[in-house]
Amino acid sequence: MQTTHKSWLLDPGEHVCWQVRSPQEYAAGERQLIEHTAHSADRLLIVGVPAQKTNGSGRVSVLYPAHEAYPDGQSGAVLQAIHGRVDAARREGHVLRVLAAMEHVAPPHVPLDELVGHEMELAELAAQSGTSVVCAYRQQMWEPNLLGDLAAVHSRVVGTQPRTAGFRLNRADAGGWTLDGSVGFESLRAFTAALRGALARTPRVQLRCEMLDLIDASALRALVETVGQSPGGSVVLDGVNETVLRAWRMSGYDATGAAVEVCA
Amino acid sequence: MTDATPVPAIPGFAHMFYPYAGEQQYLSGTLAYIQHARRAGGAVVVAAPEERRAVLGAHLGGDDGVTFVDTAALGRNPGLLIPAWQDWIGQLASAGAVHGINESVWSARDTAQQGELRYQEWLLNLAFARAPAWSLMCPIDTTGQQAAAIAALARCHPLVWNGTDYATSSDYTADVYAFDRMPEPAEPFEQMGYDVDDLHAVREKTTRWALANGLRAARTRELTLAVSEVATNSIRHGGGHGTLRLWVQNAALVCELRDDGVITDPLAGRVRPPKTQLGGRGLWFVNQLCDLVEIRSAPGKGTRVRLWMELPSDSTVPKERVDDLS
Repeated sequence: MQTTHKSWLLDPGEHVCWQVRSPQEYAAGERQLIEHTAHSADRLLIVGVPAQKTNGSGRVSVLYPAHEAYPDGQSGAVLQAIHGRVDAARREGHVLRVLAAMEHVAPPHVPLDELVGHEMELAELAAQSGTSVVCAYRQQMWEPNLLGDLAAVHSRVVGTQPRTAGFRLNRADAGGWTLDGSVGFESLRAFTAALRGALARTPRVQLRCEMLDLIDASALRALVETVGQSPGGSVVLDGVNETVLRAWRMSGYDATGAAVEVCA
Repeated sequence: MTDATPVPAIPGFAHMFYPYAGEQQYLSGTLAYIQHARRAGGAVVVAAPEERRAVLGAHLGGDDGVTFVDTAALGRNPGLLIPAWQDWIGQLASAGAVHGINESVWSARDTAQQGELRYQEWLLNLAFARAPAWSLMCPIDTTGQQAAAIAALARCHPLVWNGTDYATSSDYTADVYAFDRMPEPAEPFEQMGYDVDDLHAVREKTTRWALANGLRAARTRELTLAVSEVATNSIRHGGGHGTLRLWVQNAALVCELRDDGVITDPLAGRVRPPKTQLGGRGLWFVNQLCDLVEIRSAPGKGTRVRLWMELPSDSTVPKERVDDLS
């Protein structure tokens, strides 16, 4: 998918994965995002080094982690700084959009689980504050399979479409998470990482599944195993269609005492 | 057909074939079997179509040692036969030995269905080889049947019931099952190759094709799940890639997946996985979801899995669906 001006019409609470092919594409996208922000009442926070000079209007601010929040390699500190900026803007009555060059949030060699954990925190920030967060991944910096997996924990992908993970796990407006699409063997790495991330944030994970088409045998096994490896953790798949419910019953995992509940 | 050697006791699983002609012979033979079974002790299960259960029930009166189950409730897929007997035996295990009558519906089945039903009869011997002592008698009405069809069925049963007792059958082939030839796909068919990066595309293609050909949404999701499971097996065990073919035949949708792997266990997906076993559920799902599953697998030839899903009798392709797909 090409990035166009339309790509940057962001809804409140959106958590977007931008897979960037080149520095030129990044610069163009950043410019368009700045322009869209200028036409709204919102403000924009750029995490990283801006590709162009910001005009000093006060609508665009910059968080440069190397100088401000990332001196000791603790990627969680950058997230705390983003939270702080968003909260401060809200106190001033503004909505702060976030464009994060993700290599400044976490080093590209970070394990998938850790990165997914960061993404789920950003998803939660977006859902709870109403801000929109664009996570920019420069393709030359990140492993292609990792980018495919990360797309699953965003509400939308712009730029190059990665090998699709088939499913999306997003923060629900009313709390909990939504699980959409289909979860198959090709998605196991991303699905397991997303489940672990959700379980790390709350031990009782509620997944709204009205838009979940199917979940295959290998994914049901991964679900049961992941929950089993999370002491005190449990997962509820709520609002599933009859195929998902049938698959769960056919699996027999419901009779194993797994802390997983699947209901229509 | 038999060497007429009486079998004095049930040696583990006694699987016998009862060829009969007409209702009178059916009744005398099955009632004799039930009496034989009751004398041996344990429970009796009669799995038969409704009209057969009614006839037997009228002659048995209120014998509370006989349990009737409906074979029609199993649905069309012969692959559901073995797990059904697993369940029925399991429910009566406390009663001691179990004696069953297994009367499948052979009429209104096409060649592929009948071939698979015969194979299931043969697989019963493997599935229950190490089961506690029980016997299963399979009546088949020979009236109007071709001799070759009866002979093929005889090869699936180690024993034969002659109406009053059972004996070993010299026709039984224990080692290798002789499959019917699987005809080539009907024309026209759609085809795509796949590897791990294409699993999502395989599901999308199956869904769009099935909806476009009139399968209802819920059944389409089930077919898509079944195709996805077999394609996943190709990725994991079949050399990492495979070929999907889709066509319409005899008011059914047929999906065939080919790969280079070999399924060495003929019971894979045919028996309920133990609760304690994580994994090994893909082919189990497939057998539960489809109306017919045919598997041909051999070293040097790879594996072909053919999944059938019958179209509803009032199937039409709704205009809005076609519009959605365009």
